[in-house]
Amino acid sequence: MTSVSRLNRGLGGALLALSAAAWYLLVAQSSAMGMAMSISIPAYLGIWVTMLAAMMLPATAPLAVAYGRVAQARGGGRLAALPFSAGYMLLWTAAGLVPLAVFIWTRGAVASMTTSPLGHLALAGVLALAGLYQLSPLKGACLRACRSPLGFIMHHNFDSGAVGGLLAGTSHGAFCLGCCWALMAVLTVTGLMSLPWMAVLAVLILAEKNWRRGLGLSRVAGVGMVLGGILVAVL
Amino acid sequence: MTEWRLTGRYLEACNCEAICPCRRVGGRDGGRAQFQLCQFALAWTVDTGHFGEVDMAGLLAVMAGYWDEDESGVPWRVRLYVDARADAPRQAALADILLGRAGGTPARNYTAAIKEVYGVRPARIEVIHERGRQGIRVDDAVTVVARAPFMSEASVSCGIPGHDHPGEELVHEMLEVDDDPLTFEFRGRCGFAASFDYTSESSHLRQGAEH
Repeated sequence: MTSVSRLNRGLGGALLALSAAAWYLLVAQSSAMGMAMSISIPAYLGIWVTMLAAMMLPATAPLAVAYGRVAQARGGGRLAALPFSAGYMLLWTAAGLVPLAVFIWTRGAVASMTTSPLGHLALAGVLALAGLYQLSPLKGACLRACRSPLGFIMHHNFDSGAVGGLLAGTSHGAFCLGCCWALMAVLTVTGLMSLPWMAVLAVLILAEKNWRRGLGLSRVAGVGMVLGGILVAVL
Repeated sequence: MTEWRLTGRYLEACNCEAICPCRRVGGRDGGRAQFQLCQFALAWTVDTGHFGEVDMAGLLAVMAGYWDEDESGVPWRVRLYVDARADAPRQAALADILLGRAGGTPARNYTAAIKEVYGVRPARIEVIHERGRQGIRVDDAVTVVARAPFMSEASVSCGIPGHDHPGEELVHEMLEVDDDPLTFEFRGRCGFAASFDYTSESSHLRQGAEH
């Protein structure tokens, strides 16, 4: 194995280990978090970033590794995958401010949506809308971009240094956000610390991006979510 | 033998400097590889095609390997990656065609040189043929990124897609293969992009059909 490969595979492994550690933290803290109806903004952001690390890093690791290899060949640092991953996480962390704003605006009602009549309808609506988005051309375009590490690299002429890596990671994060925001919205209304929902959505995201039938799966999931939304509204 | 035809786009990278000495340039035949070892990655994107009744359009395959100019008979040793999106019969058909077991154009152009196949492996493959942005990626095993076309006035052709399919010489930013026992990485070496049209028919029959 070449030194470049060994290093970048090591970084890929480190991203997966980080995800595993995040899952451990989430599981260990789930009971305490589930009971907390009001949390501070730093605590919320801590949960959000931990959740992102757990759910998203496995799905995005192949692209980070591929980027690291090419950036290194272009004269970038040996750890080019790290600023890339940091840029990716930064963009998603910023995106986390949206559910936070909704949380504050609704005075925490989203945390108990599934148990209130209004929350019941909101859950149905978000599920149906997220399902429809799964079927949209924009979702398809973003997912195709996320599924093509080489395509992303060949169409983005970022500087191979740390700033370039950060920008490349942010740019990939934008495609990933376009791909997954609706799924995260579902997670938000079901409760941010719902481990079963997190697990289901993490597997779905991983498969959409990396399984050979990921594009088809995203549409099947979309139909399922629309039907689920209707079911929740009716029952 | 099953009747088949594959047409599409071909992309390769090797460790020679551009223009690769194996190419036919301006009608003049190529010769030995520049270095003792020729180490390469070859990629095919099937745009249209069939193998018997099976539709092969849209499938991808990559072959990585090497030969030693000083070894008797200059045998190729290769590993073939076939499109993981394809079902088993299509993957088998890709392997049979590109390794020469199904005869036809590949058997005439290059497969007679293949003496050892390390394996045929289904893999996630990406091949980009966009001019100036060509690239190949096979899981963690193969990465090829083109830098630019190598400008040449003369017509350049390669024996693998066939000299009846002249193409464009390239300079690659990187060629990296990492799949034991094939392990090599190069910067700034050559590549080639062309179309291909492989068929099960013998050249004699094709010429007869064309005339």
